[in-house]
Amino acid sequence: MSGTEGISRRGFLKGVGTVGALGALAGGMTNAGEWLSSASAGEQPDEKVAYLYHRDHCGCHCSLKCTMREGRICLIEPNDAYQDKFYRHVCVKGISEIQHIYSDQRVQTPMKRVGERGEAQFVSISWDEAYDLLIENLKKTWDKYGHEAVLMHCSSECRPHYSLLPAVLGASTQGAVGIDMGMGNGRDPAFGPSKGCTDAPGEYAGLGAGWNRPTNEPRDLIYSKYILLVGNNVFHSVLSRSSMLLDAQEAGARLVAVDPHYSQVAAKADEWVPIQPGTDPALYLGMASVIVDKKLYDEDFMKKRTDFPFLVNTQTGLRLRAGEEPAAGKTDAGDEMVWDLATDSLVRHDQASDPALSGERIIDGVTYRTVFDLFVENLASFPVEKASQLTHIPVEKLEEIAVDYATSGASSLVMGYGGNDKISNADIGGHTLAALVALTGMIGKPGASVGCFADGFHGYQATLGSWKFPEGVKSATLKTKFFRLPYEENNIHMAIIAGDSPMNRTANYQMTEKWLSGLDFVCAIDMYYTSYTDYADLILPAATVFESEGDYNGVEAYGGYVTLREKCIDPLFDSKSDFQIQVDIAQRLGMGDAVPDSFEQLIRTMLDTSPDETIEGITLESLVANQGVQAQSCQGTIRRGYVDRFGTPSQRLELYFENMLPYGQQLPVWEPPMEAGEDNALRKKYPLYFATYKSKFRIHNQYWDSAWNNQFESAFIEMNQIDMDARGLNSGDEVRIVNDRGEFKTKVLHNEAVRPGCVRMPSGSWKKNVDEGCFQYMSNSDVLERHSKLIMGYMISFNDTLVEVERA
Amino acid sequence: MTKLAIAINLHRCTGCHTCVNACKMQNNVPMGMLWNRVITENSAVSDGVEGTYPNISRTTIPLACQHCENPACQKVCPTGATYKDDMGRVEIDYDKCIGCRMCMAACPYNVRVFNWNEPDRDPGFNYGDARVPVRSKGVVEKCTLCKERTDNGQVPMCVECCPMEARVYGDLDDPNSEISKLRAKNNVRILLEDMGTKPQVFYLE
Repeated sequence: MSGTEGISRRGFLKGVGTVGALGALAGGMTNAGEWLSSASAGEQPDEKVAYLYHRDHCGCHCSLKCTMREGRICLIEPNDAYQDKFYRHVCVKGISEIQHIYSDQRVQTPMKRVGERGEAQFVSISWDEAYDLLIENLKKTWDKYGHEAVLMHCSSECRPHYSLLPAVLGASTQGAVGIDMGMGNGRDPAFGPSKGCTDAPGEYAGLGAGWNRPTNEPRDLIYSKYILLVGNNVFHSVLSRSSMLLDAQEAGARLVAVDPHYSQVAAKADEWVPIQPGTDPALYLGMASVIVDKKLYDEDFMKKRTDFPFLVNTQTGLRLRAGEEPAAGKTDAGDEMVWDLATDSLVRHDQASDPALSGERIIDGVTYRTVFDLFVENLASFPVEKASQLTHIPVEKLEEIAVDYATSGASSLVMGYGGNDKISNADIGGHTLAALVALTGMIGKPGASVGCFADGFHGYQATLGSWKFPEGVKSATLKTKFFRLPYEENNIHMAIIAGDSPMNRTANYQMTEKWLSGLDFVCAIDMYYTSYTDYADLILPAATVFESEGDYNGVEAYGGYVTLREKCIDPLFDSKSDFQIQVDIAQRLGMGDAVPDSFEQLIRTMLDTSPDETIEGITLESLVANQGVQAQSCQGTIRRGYVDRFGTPSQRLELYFENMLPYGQQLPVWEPPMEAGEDNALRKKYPLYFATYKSKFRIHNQYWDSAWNNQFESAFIEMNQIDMDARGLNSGDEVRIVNDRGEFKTKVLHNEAVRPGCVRMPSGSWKKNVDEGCFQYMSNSDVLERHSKLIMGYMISFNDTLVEVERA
Repeated sequence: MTKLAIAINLHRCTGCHTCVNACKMQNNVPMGMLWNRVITENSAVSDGVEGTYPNISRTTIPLACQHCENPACQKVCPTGATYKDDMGRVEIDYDKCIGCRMCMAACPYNVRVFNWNEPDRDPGFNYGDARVPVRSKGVVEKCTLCKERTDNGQVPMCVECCPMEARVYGDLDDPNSEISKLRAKNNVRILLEDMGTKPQVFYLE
């Protein structure tokens, strides 16, 4: 009992009907101190401890030990149940929760819009009024357009919390993606799903699904001799779990960081190689060129484990098969043919003992060539000199990188989810990463892997059970991708949105604001007044993960562990937990029986109905007894993927993409970024490349109102002195960042770590953090048709953006 | 004798600021004040550099009381509020501090802070370790080497929370301690060594 109940709540609600600007309401009406003023009365002076996993999606999955005194959270430390420091951690953001939880910037009561959408004029209402308003609008929308016309959309952080409401409402949901899959779109089809391809019993669902996830988990990096990090700043973006990169370096790995800017990874690496933004695919193609020219490839791997020997019909571009071409929707038999040198005959690839990598064959009058010959021919038009010209990396350095990667004995390619992953040619980069693996066989061995590093997601991941809804209670799949809703005809008329996905998962944000403005009703569920809440008709105050009505507030399985979220304190102010909000709505719709009675019941269901044998015996009681963390049974073995086969139909690495024939990308071919290319004529008007990066003080849009983290950093852009001089700017000047999509105003700081010709900015700042507009007004929302044919579909090219900067 | 100290491996320090907030939390440090900071050498911005692109470098240095063997702050304290304790730590007796701030002027590391006003805490209650005394307006404060923790066999909170394992805490008077072995290495960096303050906190380059 934290003392929030029965104190000044009644007094606070006297304020209902007060209309004013949001700032005055949120800050002026009450603050945490008032809400907590009677907290100590009747409290025991002793302390109690609870354990909980913190964030769902920042990648580190810190399990924290929280100490409460007089009902308030006063200490947040790493959970000492972990012996291994790789898992026992907290970061600057986790500790800042001491203030952030109690922030007077919290949404404290349900709020109803009274001004125009976007004006952020709200009035405080009761939960009863709020639920009545929500349900009235749900019924109105259902009657007019059907249940699917309601969108229930959650940010990455909130999605695991809202496992019930989309089904209860029959709402359209999911359809997000568009981010963190740029490279995976091009790499993962070559590898295929990893199920059954790991060397330990624990499955890892995400590998091969389109996320360019690392084929070996990061604990394996310590076995690498050479680690090439491209556009990755893991020391700040996934900071709690980045220490193993330094461990690998201490164990003798050479770390080479390729980045336009002098990132923290660049600062710690053995060498920093600056690169022109948007040219990572050229770097990889250049490396492939060197490896082929110098014959540094692994012929045995190429013959046994890749599609390089497959024969391709030079007329149709299709691979020669034993049977029919697989029809749409039918299983691909993986029956491609090769020329077996051992028998000098045409055989199925899995029956050849010495498949030919090269050579033209005429079979039944048709000319066939091997994938490898086509690949080599393809590379001939992309010599290392061309790669050097595009990337601005000297030829000798490109050659050195390629040779070191191919010959170290155990090399890892480590990418990030920022940088080139959010530029239109990212799929080509991902496809070329697969080519580098195909040439060198750097996969499935200790210290040999490839992928984006955002750990926490990359160890083992147990499958938990889920709540079983009664017959007919289910959500619908959103037919349009969320970030395409402002641009494509769709059936959505009302939205319930938890977390600021609209600002963070859509580019060209003014278009998203227009879309939000045009909806019949928008309900936001959030802890803070972020940017999308300005457009809500109703805001429901969510509790933080530290607050819950019941004893438990969640369970998750990540990185080889099952972790529990125990209650620390009661919901603060007049907030409710995400779980309670869902149950309340279900009950008011007469569907209380369709949802669990308590989070405890849901947790028990998730654990008891798990089909995963690696977590057998883990129960709520055993988790509580183990400070909320228990390892999967396979955790003692490092996870390595594609050890002896790939998840493709042929079980080989399939570099040749027949479905890309219409786009000329069946094998990776260089293509400049759609906007940020050096030769783009738009550069005459907007000469500066603009991209955002993940700050160590934020998780995208989270923590921008954290008073403790704002001690260190606020919103700004950074530029090189050359570009500041050219515009007569001084550090600290107020500037306008402009392109045809929009503009925003903030201050500019000089930072020589920034590449000339570039503007960079920490991602996720809220509209109120900058002086006018929004950083996301600038970003590129254009899509390429090619991407829609890849496994993850359209991507958002956030970082494929040009701007000009001028004194405000 | 005991000479408690912290060694900080600058190559393992990524400038993440976790130790800064860990210290603030543990010691109930008010807003506008920090006992522990991370400075980026010769740069005005946190992720800044020295040099001109692309010939640049970055060193981040966590900076708190250096727990000097020969503390300049102690010498100038007129009341004996600042003292060197028997564990080798530089401590402040808040009851004896008259707020003259001579120590702040004397400290070459600029790591002491003064309560000009009633402490402004956000959140508005005393957070952190219950054993840490609450300081009032008019006294100077600084890193105590987490006296309340280290008195009881725990490591300082900055050491406990450092996600990069950049910090090593120990007794320099114990020749077998890890910190003593690190102190004997040739990559040790002492801040402002020529000041003669003989810091016990040291850095590894």
